[in-house]
Amino acid sequence: MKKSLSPLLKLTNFELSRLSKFLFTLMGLTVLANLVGYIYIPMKFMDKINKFTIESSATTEEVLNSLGTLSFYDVTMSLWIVAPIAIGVSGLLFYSIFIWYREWFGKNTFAYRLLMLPVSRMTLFFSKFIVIFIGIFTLISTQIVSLFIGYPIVSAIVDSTYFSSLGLIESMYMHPLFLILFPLEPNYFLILIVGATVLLVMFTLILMERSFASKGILFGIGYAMVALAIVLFPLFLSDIFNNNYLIYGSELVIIEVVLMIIVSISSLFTSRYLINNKITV
Amino acid sequence: MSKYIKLSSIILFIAITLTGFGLYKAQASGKQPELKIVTSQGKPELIEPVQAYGFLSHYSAGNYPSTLKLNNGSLSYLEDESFFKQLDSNINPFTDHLISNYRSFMRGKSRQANQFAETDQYILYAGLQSDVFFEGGNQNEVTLAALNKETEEEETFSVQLENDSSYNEIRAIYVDYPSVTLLVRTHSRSDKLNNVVYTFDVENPEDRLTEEVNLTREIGSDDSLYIGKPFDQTERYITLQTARENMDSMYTYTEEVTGYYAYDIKEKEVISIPSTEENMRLFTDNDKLYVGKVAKDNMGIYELKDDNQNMTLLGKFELSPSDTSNDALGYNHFNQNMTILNGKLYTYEYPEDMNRPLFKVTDIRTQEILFSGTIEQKDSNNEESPFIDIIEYRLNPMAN
Amino acid sequence: MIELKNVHKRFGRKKVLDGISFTANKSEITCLVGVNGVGKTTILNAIMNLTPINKGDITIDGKKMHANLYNKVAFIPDVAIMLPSMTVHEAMDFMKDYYSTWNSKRAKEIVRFFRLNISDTISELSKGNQAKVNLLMGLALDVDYILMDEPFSGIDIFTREQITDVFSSRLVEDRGVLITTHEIMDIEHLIDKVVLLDNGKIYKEFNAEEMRETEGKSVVDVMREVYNG
Repeated sequence: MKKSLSPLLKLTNFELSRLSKFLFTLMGLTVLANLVGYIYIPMKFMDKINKFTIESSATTEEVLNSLGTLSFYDVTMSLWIVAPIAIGVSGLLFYSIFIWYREWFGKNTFAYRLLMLPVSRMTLFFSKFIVIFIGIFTLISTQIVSLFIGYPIVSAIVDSTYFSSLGLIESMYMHPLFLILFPLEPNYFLILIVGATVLLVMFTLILMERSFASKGILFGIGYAMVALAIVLFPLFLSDIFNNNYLIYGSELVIIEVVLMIIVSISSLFTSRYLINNKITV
Repeated sequence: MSKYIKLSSIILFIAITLTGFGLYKAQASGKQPELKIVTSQGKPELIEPVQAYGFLSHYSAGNYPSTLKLNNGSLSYLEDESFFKQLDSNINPFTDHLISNYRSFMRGKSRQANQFAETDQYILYAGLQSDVFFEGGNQNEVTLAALNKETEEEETFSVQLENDSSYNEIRAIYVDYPSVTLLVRTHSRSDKLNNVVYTFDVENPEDRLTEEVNLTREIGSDDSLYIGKPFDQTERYITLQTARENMDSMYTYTEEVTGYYAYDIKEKEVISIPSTEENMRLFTDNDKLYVGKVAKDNMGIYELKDDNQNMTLLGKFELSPSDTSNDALGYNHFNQNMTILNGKLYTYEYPEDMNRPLFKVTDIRTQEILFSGTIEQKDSNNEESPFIDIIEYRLNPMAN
Repeated sequence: MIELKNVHKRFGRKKVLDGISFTANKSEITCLVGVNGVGKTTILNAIMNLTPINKGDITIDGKKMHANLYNKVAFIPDVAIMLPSMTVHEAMDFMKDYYSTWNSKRAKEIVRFFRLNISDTISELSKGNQAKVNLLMGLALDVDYILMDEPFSGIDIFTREQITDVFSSRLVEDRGVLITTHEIMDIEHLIDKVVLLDNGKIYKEFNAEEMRETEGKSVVDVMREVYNG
C-alpha cells in the first residue's frame, strides 16, 4: 500500500507544483475582483442614497421606498464576483485538457519521461485527476474565504438603515452559483459525482485521441455521447411511458448515481487499457 | 518534506475552510426549536387525527423557514428526514401517507389527494392520463384502481366516460365499497363547464360510465362550484357551494357565495339548502348533514333532517373573531379549517395574540371542548414563540 | 536479452515493421542500422511500450514490458524529454525520486565527464548539452539495458567525441546496448552486432567483427551494398 501510495503522492505533488502558478493566478484574480466588488458596489449605492437624500431632501423612509436596501446577495450577484467564478470554472476546464496535451506538445516531449516512470501508468492518470479536484476545491475555498471577508466590508460601508438584514449564509443559499459550488445542501454529493464522471469521460476521450489520433477523436466523441445518453436516459423514462410518477425521486437519484458510477468505472477501465497498451508518444 | 509544502498547505487550506464553513453554516442556520403540543383542555390523544404541514420561522433559525409536520400527535421537521425520504415525500398529508405505506400502489398514479379514498379495507383511485402526464392521451378514459390493504391485491380498470368533453378533471371520489362515486368536471368543446357524477361498481365493473347526475344542470347555475374539502370520503353527502367572482378592480376580485347544496350519494339527488343572512358553513359526517351559521363570535351548528329542509340547532360554539369571517375558498374546495368527523368538530384558528394555530376538538352534541391546545417550545424558558403557518391540513379518519 | 519476435506495426495503411525478429544481448552493443524512416525509432518505442504493435511479441529477459522494468531498461530518445523549465539538478532529483536504480554517484561522474552545470535550466542549454542531459538521465540508472536513439544526430563534433567515449568507458560496462544510428562510422569499431533494416524487414543480421575477419568488410561496406546496390 505504502509503495503504491507514495508514487501517487509524489506525482500529485509534482502535478500540483506545475498547476500552482495558474491556480495562484486564479485565486488572486478572484480575491482582487471580489474586493473591488465589495468596496465599489456599496460605495456606489451609498453615493446614490446620499445624492437622492440631498437632491430631493427626502426622509430615510422615502429613500428606502424609492431606492430600497442593498443586501450582500446583491453584491454577490454582481460581475465582480460572478465573473471570476466563470473564469475559474472555464480555466480549470481548459486545464483539464491542457494537463494531458502539454506532455506531448511544446518544447520537450515530457510524455516520454512520464510514461517510462517505473510506476503504474494509472498513477499518472490519478495524479492528474486529483490535481484537478484540488484546483476546484482550492478555488471554492478561496471564494468562501473571500465572502467571509466581504460581508463585514459591505456591512461597514453601507449605512445599517440601508443594509438588508439578509445574512451571509442566506445570501449563499439564494445564489444560483454558490448553491451548486458550495457544500450547502445534502445533494452536494451528486454534484461531486457528476463532476468526477464528466472529468473521467473527458480524460478517456483525450486518451483515445492520444492513442488513435483523429480516429480517436471520433471514438471519443462517440464514447462521450453514449455515456451522456446512458446518464440522461432515466430522465426521459416519463416521456417514454407517458407517466411522471413511474419512478420515485429517490429511485431516480439512485439510478443516476449507479449509472454515473458505471460510466466512471468503464471510463477508468478504458483509460487503463489505453494508457497501458495503446498510447503513443 | 519541504517539497510537499505547497501540496500540504493547499490541502490544509481547503480542509480548514470547508470545515470552518460547515461549522459556521450549522451555527448560522441555527437549531430549529424543539416543539411539543401543549394541551390546555381535554384529552391530548384527541389531536391524533390531525395531520398538518406548516411553515415555521423562528429568530434562532435565521430567515430560513423550515417545514413542520404534525402527525399522530407528534411533531417533526421535514428537514430532519433522510435525503431520500424528502425526495419522495409529498406536502399533502394524505398523499404522503399513501406514498409511505403503499409505495407500489402509488407508482404511476396521480399525486392529487382528492383522487384517492381510503376505507378500512381498501384504497381507491381514479385518474386520467392527464393527471400523470402533461400530454394526456384519451381524455375520457379513467383508470380506476382498488387496493385491498390486507391482501395487497390491486385491481385496475380502464373505464370510458360517456361525454363529449374535450377535457375532464376528477374533483373528488367518494366510496361506499364496492360503489365508487366520481365527481368530474367536464369541459365541453364550447367551453361550457359541467360537474357530473358518475358511479362505478368495483365488483361489477363496466367499461363505460354514463352520467348519473349533472350537478350543474340540477343546480341550474353557471356559477363556480366548490366542494367541501373531503377527508373521509365515505360520507353519504357531498357538500357543495356555488360562488361568483365580483371584480373589484382590474386586479382584485371577491368571491360571493351564491348557494349551498349537497349531493346525496344514496338517493342520487341534489339537495338545495336554504341560505340565511349569516355566513354559512356546510358539513357532512357519516350519513348526516350539518349547517353552521356563523355569527359575530360564535357558530351555531344545525342538523339537517334528510327528507325535509328542517334544521335542528345542536348548539353554539365559540369562535375567535379571526375565524368568523367567511372561509377562503381554496382551490376547488371550501371548509379548509373546520371539519366535523365522527360527531366532533375539529377547528384550527390563529388567535390574535398568538402567531401559531390553536387546535380545538368539540363534541357537537354536548358542546364540550374535548381538546384544546397549541404548539409550544419544549424549553419553556425561551420567551419567543415560533411563528407557525399551516399550509396543509387533513383529518385522518382512520385515527379514530 | 531483449527479444523481438515477428513484430508488425502499421501507421494507417503504411507498414512500418513487417515481421521483425532479432535479439539484443547483455554485454553487447547491438546497432540497428537503416536509412531514415525505416522504423528504427519505432522499434525502440515499441520495446519501451511507448507505441503499440499490431502483432508479435517483445520480451525483456523473458518478460513483457511493465512498470518495474523501467528500472531495468533505460531509453535515451533523440529528443529532450525532461521539462524545459527544470534545471539539470531538478531533473536529477526528479529521476532520483522515482527510479530505485538511480545512481547518484555515477550521475555526478557523468555531470563532470560532460562538464555540465547542474544549475543550468534545460531550455537554455545548447542542443549538444541537451543531448548530454538526455544521456545523463539514462546512463546514471543502474540498468541492464540501454536503448539509444540516434545519439549523434545534429550534434557538433566535440560532443560527438565525448559521446563516443561513453561507449568505451565503464559507464556502459557490461550492460546491453541497443543503438540506432545512420551515422555508423563514429562507433563502428565498438559495435558487436548489426541489424540491417530495409523496408520494414530485417535485411541482414551479423556480427561486425566476424564480418571484418571473414569477409573483410566493414559495417559501412555492407550498408553501401544494401542501400546503393
